[in-house]
Formats: sequence, structure tokens, C-alpha cells
Amino acid sequence: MFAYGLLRKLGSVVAVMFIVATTVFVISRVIPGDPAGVMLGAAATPEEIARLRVELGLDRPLPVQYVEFMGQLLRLDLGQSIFLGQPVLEAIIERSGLTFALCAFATTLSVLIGLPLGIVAGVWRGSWVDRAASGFALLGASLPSFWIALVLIRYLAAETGWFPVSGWGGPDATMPERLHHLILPAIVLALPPGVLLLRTTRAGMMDVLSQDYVRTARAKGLAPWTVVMKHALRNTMLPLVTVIGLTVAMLVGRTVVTETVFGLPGIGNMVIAGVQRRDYPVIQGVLMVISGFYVLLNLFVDILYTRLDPRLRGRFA
Amino acid sequence: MSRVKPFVAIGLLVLAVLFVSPWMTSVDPLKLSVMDRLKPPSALHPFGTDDFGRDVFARVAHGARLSLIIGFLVTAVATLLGTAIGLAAGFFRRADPFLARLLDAMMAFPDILLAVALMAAFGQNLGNVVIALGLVYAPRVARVVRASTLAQRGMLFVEAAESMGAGRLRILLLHVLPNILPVLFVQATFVFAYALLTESALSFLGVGVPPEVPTLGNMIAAAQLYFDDAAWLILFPGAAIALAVLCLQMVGDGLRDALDPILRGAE
Amino acid sequence: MRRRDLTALGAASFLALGKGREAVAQATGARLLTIAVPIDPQNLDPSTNTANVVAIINQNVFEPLYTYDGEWRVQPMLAAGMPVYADGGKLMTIPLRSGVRFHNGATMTADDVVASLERWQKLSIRGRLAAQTIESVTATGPLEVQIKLKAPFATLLHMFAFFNAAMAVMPASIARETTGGPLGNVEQFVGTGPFRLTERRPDQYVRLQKFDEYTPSSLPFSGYAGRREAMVQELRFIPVPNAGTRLQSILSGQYDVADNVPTEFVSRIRRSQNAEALVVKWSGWIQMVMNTRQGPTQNVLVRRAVQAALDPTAIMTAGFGNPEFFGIGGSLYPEGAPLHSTAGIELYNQRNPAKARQLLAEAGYSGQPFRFITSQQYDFVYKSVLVAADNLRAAGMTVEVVLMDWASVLQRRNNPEIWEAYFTFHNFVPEPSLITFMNPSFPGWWDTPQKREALAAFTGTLVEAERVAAWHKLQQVMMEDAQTITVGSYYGLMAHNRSVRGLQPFLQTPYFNVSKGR
Repeated sequence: MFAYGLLRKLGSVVAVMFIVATTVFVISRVIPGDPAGVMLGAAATPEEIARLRVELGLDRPLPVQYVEFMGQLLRLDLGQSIFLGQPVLEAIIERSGLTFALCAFATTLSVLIGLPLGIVAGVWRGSWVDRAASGFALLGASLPSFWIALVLIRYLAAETGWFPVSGWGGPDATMPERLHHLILPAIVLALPPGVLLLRTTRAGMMDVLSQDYVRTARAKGLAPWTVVMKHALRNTMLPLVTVIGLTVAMLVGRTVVTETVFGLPGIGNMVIAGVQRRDYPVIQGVLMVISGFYVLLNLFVDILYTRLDPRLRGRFA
Repeated sequence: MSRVKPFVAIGLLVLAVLFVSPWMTSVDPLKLSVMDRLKPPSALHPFGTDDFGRDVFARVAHGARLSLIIGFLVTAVATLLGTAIGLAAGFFRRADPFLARLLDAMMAFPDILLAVALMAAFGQNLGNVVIALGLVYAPRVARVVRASTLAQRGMLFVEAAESMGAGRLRILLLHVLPNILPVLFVQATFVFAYALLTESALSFLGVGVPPEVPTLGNMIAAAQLYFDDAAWLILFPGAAIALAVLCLQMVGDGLRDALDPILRGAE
Repeated sequence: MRRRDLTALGAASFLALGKGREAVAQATGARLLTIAVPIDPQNLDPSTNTANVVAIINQNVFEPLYTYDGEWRVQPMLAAGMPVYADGGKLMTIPLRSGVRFHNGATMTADDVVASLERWQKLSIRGRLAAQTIESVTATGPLEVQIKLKAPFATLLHMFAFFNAAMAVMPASIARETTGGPLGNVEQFVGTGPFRLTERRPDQYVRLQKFDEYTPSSLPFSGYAGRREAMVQELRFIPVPNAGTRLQSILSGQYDVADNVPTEFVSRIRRSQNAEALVVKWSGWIQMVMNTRQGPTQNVLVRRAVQAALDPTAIMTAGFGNPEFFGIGGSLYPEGAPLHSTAGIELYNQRNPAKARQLLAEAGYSGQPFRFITSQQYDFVYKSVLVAADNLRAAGMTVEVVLMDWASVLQRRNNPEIWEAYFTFHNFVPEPSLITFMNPSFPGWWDTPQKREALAAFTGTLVEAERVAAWHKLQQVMMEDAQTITVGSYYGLMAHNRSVRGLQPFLQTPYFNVSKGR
């Protein structure tokens, strides 16, 4: 049963990835005019443009280009970056370390913010703690992240010198130095998913605490916190797995803003630089990798979900 | 219900004020006055002046309205497109597997990243921002519409209408659509809020609306240089974005809470 | 338990960081100089890439045959002395310094210079221009190179000296291997400079390290010329595209030098405890170019009317604000430079609308539209245009300001039908014949007989005194023709940490002879 469900799920993943790839292809060919001309800029000679057209395969009919594109993807070939002069996949891998570290840091932070606040707010529903937490959540979800980043840089980095203004240290920076550089970016990045986690935890807590068995446990005289930690939290964990999974996926996309403001040379920064340099293969490549990551992460969360909840075993939705 | 209404009302009121705020000032947001550059907030210039000596209050007021208009247009595009796809997926069984995968695929792209890629492909102008963000958020609407439509399909009155030989399109538009409107409206409110945030981020990153268009995001991007000396240049436009988004979320949350019993009753 | 350990460890290392920072800075500070630059160039080739950053980085790595001293006079660098001319200036013999080491350990010979010259003529935009006059280049001895020219060509020496699309000397093997395109990997960057390029990470940094076997020139140090020395172990150029971040990285002490800082921050920098401001004079010129092909500006009297009406101080003030960051005066070159000239200067800065009206009446001007094409993209350009338009209106002209983006200005100025004038900016170049408007095909199309004659006289002589005299004449013609009006020059701003010593306020500031310490 489980194997069958997994197979079906995998089929769906393949279908989704196929559509993702097709979409990326369509976006890259929608560029008005001649992409080769656009990439090289106004100073390019016709010969240079013609050469790049051949290099990018733009001189062939669209269906042929499409088949080529898909073939390349199957071979994990994301093309060549025009600006960096290296394969896109290689460039992405080079920069993924920073982005990965940043996302891991931010995920940890968001759990540290969201979980305790959510539990407290859910348990003491309607209290001032709950109101404060909900207000914080509402505000946190409303502030533009680049704005928070600027404010933090201005007051905690430039003025006080507590944190570096940008970058993540030189080539020989030590681990603690790198972490020190990543604190502000991670805070900025952690806020929206932290809020999401807070809300989910709170809702889940409230839901579980109103269930009969919890009331029974309480009636039996179990200490309130034991009830919360033992029964309620365990049952809330299930939807939380999904939310944390979503969180990671959300973070990767948002590094575009955070890395740019903080001048961190990761994948997100690479996309914006790619736009400015009209390096379309880079944009396409990152789009493919990140959405692929998202789809796989979703699959993983689904599997984890069924494992955690025996009722769902073999019942892949 | 009684706790919900004031939030919605306050949210709507503040949004309305933001929208008409350009009329609260007679100062031309484009008027240069180099002698008055980078003046801190005062009675004459409540939000101070920028690097060209322009009145920041007037600029924030006009920028807020412009951002709201862009956000509204994005919401309109996303809602129309998303509703069409969602209804089709929910009602036409044959189209559903494909459309559902399509929606999954579109949701796999993080919103800002997809918007950046679309802007890189389309080219930077206001119309393209609306189209790009509309495409980004349409699947988010479509998903909700699809789920609600699927729920509605099984309803007795739909089956009754079907058995009476009513046309499918007719059923869809006359019976299904009106019933999902509340859900759609709530979702549209959130899309509006996301659209505001994403649009300002795109402007800020320099890949959205061209820099000379005075949106709030562009104002903040241009003011970065002066943050040390003239914090008001960044604090006020940022607060305006946050306020608009906050109000939209309040309206959305309030409406959703108000709808909740109805939705539960329908289950 | 384990979790508590981890937290403690994290807190400890964090605290250590805060305290350790100063100590670390002291230990490594004198060895490393970090420079925040505005862009990360696509390639670092000194000859093919004309970006300023590329020149700034490369002049520490590669050296030219000749270079400029502090007064913009040409001095030998890798050459052992000034060139010897024969055959009426058509044969140029360049002696080379002996025992000059390349970064790969080899010693420089005439063959290396010949190969480098050939590569330069093929790949560099300046080299390609020079190639039209160069007939052949040969090694006439182990340390002697001869250049045969089709005509006397004084500009060539300045093309060698101006480190932009530069004639960089590299080993013959590398020069011959890379005639197909820009230098690629780090191993191909072999020069003779006091630093060698050791690592490049796109979007992160370019790393130069001290070249221990550097062979310095025996001349005294001045400008870019003379004895160069690496005073730190490493130069690290870090791209920080955002000007605000660049500024803050200096104010907070994170980096040592920031290049290209917006000038309005000068007071902010001066107020700071960490940083010092460096005004880079003569960074470039603001020019108003008029159309000589079509419309009312074809008539020299109309152009002179415009010249009479303009108020350079007002225009430059609008564009640049702080008077510390622009200069007016009419001469293209600063006082003290060999080419400083007051010829025709009375036609500059007249601020005389009455005279302008009279000239317009003489020209038979009757309100034809005078169209500026311009863009808001470069703020100072736009503001300059607004004031200039105002000046012209005061003289009774019908002025229109047509707005478009800057790329369109550059494109549409090729069409003489749609404009009368535009404002542009031009990087400072020490040799006037390299200025764009001297080229008759440059939009504006300045090509009068008197200009051709004056320019030919200027580029055709090799005797310094004759050259200077010819320049005075050329500037006179420039003023009288009033085709391109150089409204003023603008200055740049750099910021550096107070511990940095020896930084020169020059265009393309070099980092040799720059040290760091208390």
C-alpha cells in the first residue's frame, strides 16, 4: 500500500517537474526581441550576437530548442553563465553553501520564535500574552523585509558596529566570524516564517486543547503543563511538520531580497545580479533548482507526514 | 462576530484614508527645492524633505495611492485568472488532473523569485509588473477556488440543477460562483497584501517599476544613501507600506473569522 | 545537557568575537588592505575591458611602457627612457629596462613587448585606433623595440601612458595565446607590477598579493610614475554595488577604502571617527554638444549665442551642489598641467543674454525649436539641462526638453533630425585627442576646416613646445566654433579609513605605495 502510494506520488512529482521545466523554458523564450542581442547589450557587434545565438541554440526552431532544453535538464546541465563564464550548476553549487547556512540559521530562529510564542498564546488564549503575540504576528507579517533589513543595518551595524554592514567575511574568515555576519540576515529572513509558525502552533494548540481527551486528562488532575507538553504539543506537531517544510521553501525564495540587501554572495544575490547583467541562463537555472528543491521538499514532508501519523499510512492524498 | 467587525472597519477606513491622502496635501510631490534638501520633519514638512527638497509627506501620500492602485490591479488580474482556472479545475473532471499539476508547478516557484524572472523576461514597466505579479498570485487564488468548487459540486442544489438539465456553464456561473464569492473575497484581500509587499520588494531591488515612478519601494531604494543622515526618508515610506499591508491583513483576518461559522456549517 | 553545552559554546564564541575584533584587526591590519569597489567586472583583462575598476585593479598588476607623473607629464615606466624618433617622427625606438621580472619568474625582453603590442592592437579599442597608423613593430635588440609609423603620431605615447584599454606588458607566450579574447583564468594574469593577481571569486572579491621579486624603477615616485612598492601583503577588492552600503562599510570600519562614493556624503565622512574623505579632482567633464548637421545650430552664430547665454556656475551648481566638487574655468586641463590654456577663454562664462539676442538676430533665428534630448537617469545631467534651458529661454530661444532614458539618448543622438543639443559627461583623459568630440563621427559631428587643421597640427608634432602651442590654437578654435561647450569639470569622492596612508587623490587611484598602520 505504502509502495503504491509512493509510486503515485513520485509520478505526480515527475509531472509537476515537467511543467516547471516547461514554464521556465517559456519564460526564457518570452524575452521580447532577440535574447542574444539583449544579453550582449548595445555595444555588441552583429557577429558577436550571431555567435551567441548559435551558442545558445537560438538559431534552431522552437520545438527543437525545447527538446534540447529538456534533454540538457535530464543530464543535469543548466547551461553556461554568460557573465561568470562557468556552468550555471557549478556557480549555483559554489554559492549554495552560504544560502544553505543562512536558511538553516533562519529556520532555527523561526522555530525558536514561533513555537514558544505559539504555545503560550494558544494555552492562554485571550490573555495579554496571546494578544501581544497575535499583534506581533500581524505586524511581523506586514513589514517589508528589505525595510527591516535597512533599519537593522542602520541601527545595529553602521551606528553601533555590533554587526558587519555587509558580506560574510573574507576568504579566510572563521566559522564564528561567518555566523556573526549572518545574524542580522537570518533575523530578517526568519520573521515571516516565524509568524506563520506562531499562528499555526497557536491554532493547533487551541484545537487540541478543546478536544475531549485533553479535557479528560486535565480532569484526571494532570498538571496543566504536562497536558500541554505531553498531549497537546505532540498532536500539534503533525501540521507543524508541514509548516516547517513550507518555511524552508519560502526562505530560499526570500533570500533574493535578504542576500541583496546584506551583500551576501549566495544564490539569491546571484539572481538579482543575473537580472542586472542580463545573464538569463543564471536566472533560469536558479529558478529550476529552487523549484525542484521545493517539489522534493514537499514530497519529503508528505512522506514524513504519513510516517508520523499511522492513520495516514498507505493513504497518500 | 462582534469582535471582528471593528477590525474590518478600522482596516477599511485606514485604507480609504491612505487612498485619498494625496488630497490632504496641496504640495506638489515633484516640486524641487534644492535649498530645502534633507530637512527633518517640521510643521511645514511633516515627514521632512528628500534629497531634492521634495516634500516627503506629499510623496508618501502619492506613492501610497500608486502602490494601492498597482496592488489592486494585480489582485484583479490574479483573481480573474485564478477564478477561471480554479472553476475549470473544480468543475471539469477531465481538465482537473492537468490543471491541478499546473497549479502545483506554479506554486513551486517562490513568489519573489518568479516575479523577478518574469520581470527580467518582460522588461521593466508598470504594466509588466501588474502582469507578472498577477501571474504569480493567480495560482494562489485558483487553489482556493478549486477546493471550494469541488466542495460545492457535491451539494444537493448543484445536483438538482444538473438533473433539471441546466447547462454546465450556467450552473457554474449562477450556482457555484456566488457561493464561493466570500472565500474568494477573503483570498483576494490576502493577495492584495502580498502583492503590495512583493511589488515594493521588486521596486527596491531595482527590477520592478522603473526607478522614476514614485512608488513607495522606489522611494526607499533611492533613499538608502541618506539613511544615516535622514532616517525619515526610509522610515515613513516603509511605515506606509506596513500600514497598508497591516490593514489588508486585518480586513482579511476579520472577514475570514466572520465567514468561519458559515464555512463550518457548510461542511 | 548537550544542548546547554552548545548554547554556552555559541555564547562564548560570540562574546569572543566582539572582544577579539580589535586584536585581530591589529594583527592582520597592516598586511591586508580591503577596497570596496562599485562593480564586479565581467572580465579583468586590462586591454579589452575599459571599465574604471578594471584599470584600478590592473595597474597594480600590469605595467605600461610609459606613464604619467603627478603633473600629467609622460614618464618612462618599463621603458628605460623616452622614445627616440627618427625619419621625421615616423620611426620610434623604445629602450627597455633590464632585469624586470614577470610574476612567473621570467625576465622581460623586447619580444614580450612586441607580442603585447600586437595583442593590444588587436583587442583594445585604443590599440585598434593606433593600429591604423602603426606599420610594424619589431624587436631590434634584446631590450629595444622599434615602431614604424605611417605618419608622425604623438598620441601614441599617451595611449601607452593612459591606463585604460591599456597597453599592458605581459609575457610573449601569454600575449600570443590570448589574441582571441580577454584573459580568463588567474594564471594568465602575469605582469610585472608590485602585486600579482592570485584569486578571483565573482561577486565576492579579487585578491592581489605582494610580488616579492618586484623590480622597481629608479625614478622618484610621482603620480603613477617612478618607484612603486607594495606596502601591504594583500590587496582585496570587494564589489559592493550599493553606494549606501559602500559608504557604511567605511564608516563602520569594515573596509579600508571605498571608491566612487556619492559626493554629498563628504560631510558625513568628515564627521566620522573612522573615515577620511578624499576629493578626486578632475574626474571628468560636463559637456554640452550641439548639432552641426541640421537645424538652427548648424549656424555658428546660433551656437555662439548659446555660448554667450550659458551660466556655467549655475549649471554646475544645479548638477553637483557642493562647490567643492566641481570646477569651472574654460581650460580643459588643470592649472600646472602642460596643456592648461587660456586661449579663447573670454568666450566662456559670458552670462550675456543681450549679446546672445544680438547674435541670434544676426543669425536670422526666428524661434525655431531648440530641442535638448536628455534623461533623468543621470540626475546631474538632467539638472544641468534644466538650467541651461532656462539660460537659453532668457535669451529669447524656444527651448524644448525631450525626456527619454539614457540608453535612448545615446542611440537617438545619432539621428541629427531630432535634436539640437544634449548634455553628456566624459571621463577625464590626459590626452585631448582621445576626447570623443574630437572625432568627426561623434554625434554633433564637429568637422570644420579650421578644426581639422588645428587637430592635425596638434597630433602631428612630437616636439613638446610645438605641441603645447598647437593645443592653444586648437582650444581657440574649439571656443570659436562653439560646437561642444565644456561647461565645467566634476570631481569624485573616495573614503578611506584613517589608518590608510599614502592614498593619492587621482583618477584610477593606484594602491602601490599605500600603507596601513597607526
